[in-house]
Amino acid sequence: MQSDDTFHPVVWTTWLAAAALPALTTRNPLYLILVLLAAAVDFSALGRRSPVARSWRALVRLGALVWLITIPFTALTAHYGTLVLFWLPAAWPVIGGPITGEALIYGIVSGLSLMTLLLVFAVFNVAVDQARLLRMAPGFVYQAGIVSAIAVAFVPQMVASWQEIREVQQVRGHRVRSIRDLLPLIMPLLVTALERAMQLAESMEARGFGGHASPTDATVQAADQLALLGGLAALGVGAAGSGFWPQQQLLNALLVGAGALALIWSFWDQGRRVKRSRYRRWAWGRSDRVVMAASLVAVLIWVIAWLGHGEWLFFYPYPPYSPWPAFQPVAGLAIMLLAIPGLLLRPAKEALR
Amino acid sequence: MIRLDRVTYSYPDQPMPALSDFSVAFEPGELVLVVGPSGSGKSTLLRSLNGLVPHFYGGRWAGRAEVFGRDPVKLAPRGMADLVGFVFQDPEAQFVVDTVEDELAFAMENFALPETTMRKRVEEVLDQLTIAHLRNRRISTLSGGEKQRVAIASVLALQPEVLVLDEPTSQLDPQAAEEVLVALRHLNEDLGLTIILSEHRLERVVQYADRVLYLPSLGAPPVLGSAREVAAILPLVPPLIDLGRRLGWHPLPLTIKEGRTHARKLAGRLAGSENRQNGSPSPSNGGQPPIVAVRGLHFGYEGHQALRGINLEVRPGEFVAVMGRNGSGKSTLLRLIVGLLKPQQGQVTVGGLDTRRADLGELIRMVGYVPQDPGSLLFNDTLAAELAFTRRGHGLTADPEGSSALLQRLGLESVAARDPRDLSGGERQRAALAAILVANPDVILLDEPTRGLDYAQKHALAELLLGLKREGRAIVMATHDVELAASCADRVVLLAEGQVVVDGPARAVMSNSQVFASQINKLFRDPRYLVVDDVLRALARGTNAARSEE
Amino acid sequence: MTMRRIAFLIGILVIVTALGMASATAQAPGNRAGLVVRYGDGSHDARCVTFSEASITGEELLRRSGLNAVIDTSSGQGGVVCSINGSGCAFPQESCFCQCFGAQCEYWAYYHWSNGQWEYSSVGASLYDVANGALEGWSWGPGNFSTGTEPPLVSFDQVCGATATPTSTATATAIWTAPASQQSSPPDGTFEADQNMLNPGSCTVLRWAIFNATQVTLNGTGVLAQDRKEVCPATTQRYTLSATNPAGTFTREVAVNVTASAATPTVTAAMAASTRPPQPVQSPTQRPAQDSTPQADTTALVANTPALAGTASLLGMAPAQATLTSQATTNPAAALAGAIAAPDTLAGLLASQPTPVVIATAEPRRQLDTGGYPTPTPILLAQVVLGQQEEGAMSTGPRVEGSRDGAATAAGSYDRTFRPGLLMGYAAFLIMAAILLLAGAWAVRRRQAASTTEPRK
Repeated sequence: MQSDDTFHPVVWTTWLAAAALPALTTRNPLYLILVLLAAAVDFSALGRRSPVARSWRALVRLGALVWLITIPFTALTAHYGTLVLFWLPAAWPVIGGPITGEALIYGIVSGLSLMTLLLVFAVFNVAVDQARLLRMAPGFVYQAGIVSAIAVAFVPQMVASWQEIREVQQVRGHRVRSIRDLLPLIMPLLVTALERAMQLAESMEARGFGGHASPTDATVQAADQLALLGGLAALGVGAAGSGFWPQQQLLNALLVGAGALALIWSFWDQGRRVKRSRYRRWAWGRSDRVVMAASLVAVLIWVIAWLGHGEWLFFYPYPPYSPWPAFQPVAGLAIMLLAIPGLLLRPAKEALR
Repeated sequence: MIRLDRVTYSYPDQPMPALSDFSVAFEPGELVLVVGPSGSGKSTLLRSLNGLVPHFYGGRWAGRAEVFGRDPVKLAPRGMADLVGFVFQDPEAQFVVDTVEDELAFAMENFALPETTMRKRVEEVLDQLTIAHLRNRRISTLSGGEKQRVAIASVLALQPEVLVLDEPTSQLDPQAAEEVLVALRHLNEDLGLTIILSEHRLERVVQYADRVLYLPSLGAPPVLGSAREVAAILPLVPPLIDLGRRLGWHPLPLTIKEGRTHARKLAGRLAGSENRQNGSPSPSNGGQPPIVAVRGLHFGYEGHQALRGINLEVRPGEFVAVMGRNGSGKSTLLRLIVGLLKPQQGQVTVGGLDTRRADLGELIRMVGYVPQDPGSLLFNDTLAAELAFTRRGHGLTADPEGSSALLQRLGLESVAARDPRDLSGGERQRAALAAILVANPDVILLDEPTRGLDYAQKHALAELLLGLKREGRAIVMATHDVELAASCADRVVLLAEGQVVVDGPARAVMSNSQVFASQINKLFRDPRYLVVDDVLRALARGTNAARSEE
Repeated sequence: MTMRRIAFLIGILVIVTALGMASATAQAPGNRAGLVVRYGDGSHDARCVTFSEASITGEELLRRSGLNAVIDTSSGQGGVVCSINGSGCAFPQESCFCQCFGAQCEYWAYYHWSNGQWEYSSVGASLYDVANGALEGWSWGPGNFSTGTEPPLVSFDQVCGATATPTSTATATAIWTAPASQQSSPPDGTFEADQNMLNPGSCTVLRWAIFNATQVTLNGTGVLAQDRKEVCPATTQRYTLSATNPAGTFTREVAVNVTASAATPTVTAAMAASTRPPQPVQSPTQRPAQDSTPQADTTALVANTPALAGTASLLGMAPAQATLTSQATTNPAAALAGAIAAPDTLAGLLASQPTPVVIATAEPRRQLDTGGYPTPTPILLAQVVLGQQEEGAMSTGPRVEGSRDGAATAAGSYDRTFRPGLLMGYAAFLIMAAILLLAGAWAVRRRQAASTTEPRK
């Protein structure tokens, strides 16, 4: 049942993991820039402008703003390094002292990694219809996933409402001069959103959302809850133990393992009882397989680099390390694999307008 | 068989029960119309059929309900979803996913139906509601009527036996409402679905109803009977039925077709009366300069040309109704007049001020704009505070006496200290109007003011607007409501595709139109008769003349 | 709206930068490095040294710190730190390794602060370049050729905090302990005797710990600031400890009464007392605890040191960090053999019962000269002989990152300059970026060619 010009959501999720890994594990600007370029290739091939994807533009702007704030923040507060650009009087609190080039570089690079992560998620947002992705979700998170999908879909509605409310209050003579002046705008927005949400909840309830709950007997339910609580407790104690009593390694490991197993079993059992069927069946085309393979290879290479050759990814401009980033072509090739979806996407007629 | 047996239900925190010792029974396969003023318990009744009341709302329930053998109170909405399908009022807030096809499948997925069954049913439902061409569309891009049909389809996918709809067309324009009602009728007649719907605009649907359930007020005993029986006793009815009742026509006509036989007989008696233009006060202030002047207006956004070369003049004391299909540019025109948008070409002058150059603050002192959704206006704790807020915003001093006089005039003095969002639909509309009027604008713009109002509320609004008009204010109303325009407007401007198609006296325009003709007009096909009063007056004159002749 | 806010922020940044530059031009840029010194008794000192050169040697840093550092530069292989602030070995009377006997050695170990921990220096102080923002440590304690006793854990900011103002001359600003030249309060400390009542013929130990003093005398004789002394008075004796600094004088008196009926002296070992000065080895069997917080790894090393048969093996060890000068004394071999044969772990020392202080000394106690130099104590200097960089000598240092072509210089720091080796990587990066850009352009063109414009909704 292929009706879109995109890949299987699971494929895209793998791509997301492969693209997010560099942003999370390295601050080397060369790799980050390559990730940005690869994501841009994919985005230019997708080119879809769904209403939900429109909100990513605001997200990107937010990321850029955060980046621009990080740079002076880091540069002015971290007085460490040998490339001194200029001096501020040291008597000044926080920002007094030498302003170093290393701090500036570090600020730029930190913001760059955040920006990259944001853009990767934005591309994922455009590529995958969230509703489709949620349908892949396992039983026990299905409901939470639906709820969050609705919350996201509300955003463009709320943006439109906000516009209208602003105009209407403007016509009443209202001017936004201070924070308090936002109340006449926010109140109607919240109430409208609430009313809509109420009606949507009614509508979902009336259509049997929540699964056709088969009556479960008390013992099974109790077992599930017990497993959940016990698993959490064991996990917590194990984690605390590994922090406070590191000598009892075996005991801690056992507790953590047992806790995790209990949790997984509880989730699986609960999910098993939420009866749900799936309407959509995604066919795995050849392109899907290729992109999946490429993403997995990229993940593999990156994990090996991260765990085994940490120096490839390392970048820390402060002394005694070098402010010149190094570039390892193998890691760069792994990043280039991320651009493959963009090259393989068939720009079919926009079936989903 | 749908039966409610001595049901008493009160919402939580409400002292008065919404349904009090309520008993009613519906036959399978019939189309029942539920009517009554706002707040009379219609919504509660409908929701009790599928268990939303009491499961979704809480409260106290007494009595028995049974729908085709199932007990909604025991089974809860989830247990009733495959028997009773519920469609709500607001087409914007009923969809979970963004694609039509996925939405149709949503309910079925919840019931864990096998995939083949789901596919089959999706195809069936698409054909039943004739929305097959919308299959892959994004729901957010559909029109109101299409959305409601998709909503109906999505509940139909579970193959229920009963379809319950709570004011499904109140937010739709007449064409969209027509589409939805035609679809419902088809479902009822061809598929034998039991349909129970509540509706304010009787004229759209009363002729299809097998029976009508009338709830006079909260807690009062209901009246259930055939459409004609109940129509005879309803306090407020569409003009056709009103005329029929007053003139004692038998059988009471419910459709134009039924009324035509009576009308033809009447026309003979009216033929002798004077050929005089009567009815709503004619615009007598042709000498005054226009307070709103629009010349050569062009406006477009994002590649879409909304208005092309609009010319319009409105004089003080004139009531102009701007009508047209959805998307013809009515709202845009109003926004341009109030100054929220600036013209790209042409000029808009309000009270001598050019909207392109004048400050918005100056413009809004002369123009008041009442939006479609009064909820986007009201936010203060009390109504009185709302009025004070507007006065502050305009830079005017507080005027408590003037404000309370205004509230009195609008019939809101009893609720002046209440939260305006707690008011009923009609009161909210009037509250929004009050919030705008308190600044004493010379021009009043209204955008679809009658959405969701029942007849009584519409009537009150019409009276109010006419009063304002008599004070010398200019009123421009964008509306779909033909009856309201017929009873209030001096002039009617028809917009289509961003251009003015017709601009002339209401009587002339509406009687010449097929789409925008009032019921009375359609009945008599005579420009002299637009509203019931026209006919009655002509009748009185004719009778007098006949008497005098005798 | 957002653009306006961004412009506003940029404007603020520009203004702040301009202000900074305006005020900064009035000052000369200064580099700062921190110096932490840990004495044998556990007390510590810290200095923040400002210098205008790009970098100075560790030895120079020590010199400029204002702590009275005595450095032996007679060997051609750089300076050897003998004593700091009166603690250590009295050069030139004795060698700078006066407390070193084979594997076990007490000396001034040199550390660098790196990556959140103290890193034992693999090079000597006169060869290591201290740059701006560095934190160097000197610590007196037991150790051997690859380890020492770590200085206390501090951070650069604690030593050279924001309150320190850069000045144009190389001055030192004291943080914890005022140097001798900048004291504002008189010295302070403790002075006590283990026993105040003695039987005739028995002995007791006087212990004292004085801070902030420029000169400390006991009954007129100059002594170390923190030390102990064994006394065997025949008759009741009064001991007066006097400490002076420019701000004042501190005097304390202790009386030791000798009476016939005094109880048998039992010496409290006070092993855990923190006022223990570095001591010469007293006996073959016992080594008093030198510091209260020796490091576990040091003691482990001590425990694991193989027993040495004799001086031959002593000289056979070629420590990377130590060059042993010949011991003038005659006893060390025997003493060392005995000492090593019965190594005392710290745990043992702490847990053991008070042991009697050894009385008999093989050599006479040294007299202090009044020049202010205290009893010399042996120290060992971290020094490397060029070309003999042993891998094993490197203790837990950071992974060599950022220097793929192994361009770590002899100074031990990473090469922070631009190396031509980086160019290859940059070329590869540019090629890949170009490929991606081309791919993006191709994708855009393909999409534009194939799809129709979306209907406006």
